[in-house]
Amino acid sequence: MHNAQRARALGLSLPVMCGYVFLGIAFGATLSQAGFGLPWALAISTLVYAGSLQFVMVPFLASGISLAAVALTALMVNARHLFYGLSCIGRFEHMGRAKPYMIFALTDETYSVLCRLPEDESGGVLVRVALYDQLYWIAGSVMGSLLAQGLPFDLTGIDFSMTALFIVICVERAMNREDWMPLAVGGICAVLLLFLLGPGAFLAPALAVTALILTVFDITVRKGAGK
Amino acid sequence: MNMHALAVVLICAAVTIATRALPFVCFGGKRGVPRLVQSLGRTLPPAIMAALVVYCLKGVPFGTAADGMKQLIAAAVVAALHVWRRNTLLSIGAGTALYMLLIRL
Repeated sequence: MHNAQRARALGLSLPVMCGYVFLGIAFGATLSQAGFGLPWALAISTLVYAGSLQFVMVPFLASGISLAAVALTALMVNARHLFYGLSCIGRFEHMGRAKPYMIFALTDETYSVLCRLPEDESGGVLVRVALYDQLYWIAGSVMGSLLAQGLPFDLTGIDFSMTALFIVICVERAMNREDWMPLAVGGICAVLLLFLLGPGAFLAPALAVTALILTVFDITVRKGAGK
Repeated sequence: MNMHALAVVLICAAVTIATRALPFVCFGGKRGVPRLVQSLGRTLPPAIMAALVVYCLKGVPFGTAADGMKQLIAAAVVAALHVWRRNTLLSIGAGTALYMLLIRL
């Protein structure tokens, strides 16, 4: 039975493997370029395990940024995770000892695999998908760190992979008409606050304003619908 | 040991765990999920992604024009490739390779 679960989890997590190994390599190499080697890559990918935030936090490691600003930025970059959890509450309810790990390991990619599975999928498969995904990510990060240190290649510019990742996610979102409004609100708020506050400290305020506008918009629309 | 970097890592880990666990703490068990929260669950993720793209390109209006141009060209190629082929690895791989090439020209 465990073998069948392993095989199914492996198949389900295969698309994530391609993405995570590649992005993990990009992360490990970016981190290494910033002066933080293998132990850091291993620790961050094991403990933090949040793709977008891990790229965003690299410049913070060496800068004198205040820890409060780190926490606020981490909170805003990770805010979307609040909403992934909402749709998994029922699914994780009966997972027993594996539940804390499932919550810890609920990344964008793992979430995207889990939410496509049938409601009655066995917990053994869910936890293996989550675990395999993290192992791909850690393996990629370690490879990236070693590659950047060991090879004579100049990897300057590899951090553009983060920009590319976010653009890809936006393009996929833009295929869905319902997402046009929030995409526009998020993008426009960010551009406006970038010019208003400068490149150093605009992200967290921009995300806060975005959340506020979307809240007001939702309340207004619901009132308009007569509720 | 770099204590500042270590503190950054631990804070990011703690905040990440907190954001992932909060919905289970607040709305687990028999309690339901309020409609506003459900609605924000649909609208916030794309909005945040758009803001993160701006964050990544934040240097464009403030750096040199040539460097900004390279970032914008690579960004446009990623978007166009993805609209065309919908292959995540191809879009990210080719876009990043193009950017690394452009900054060396």
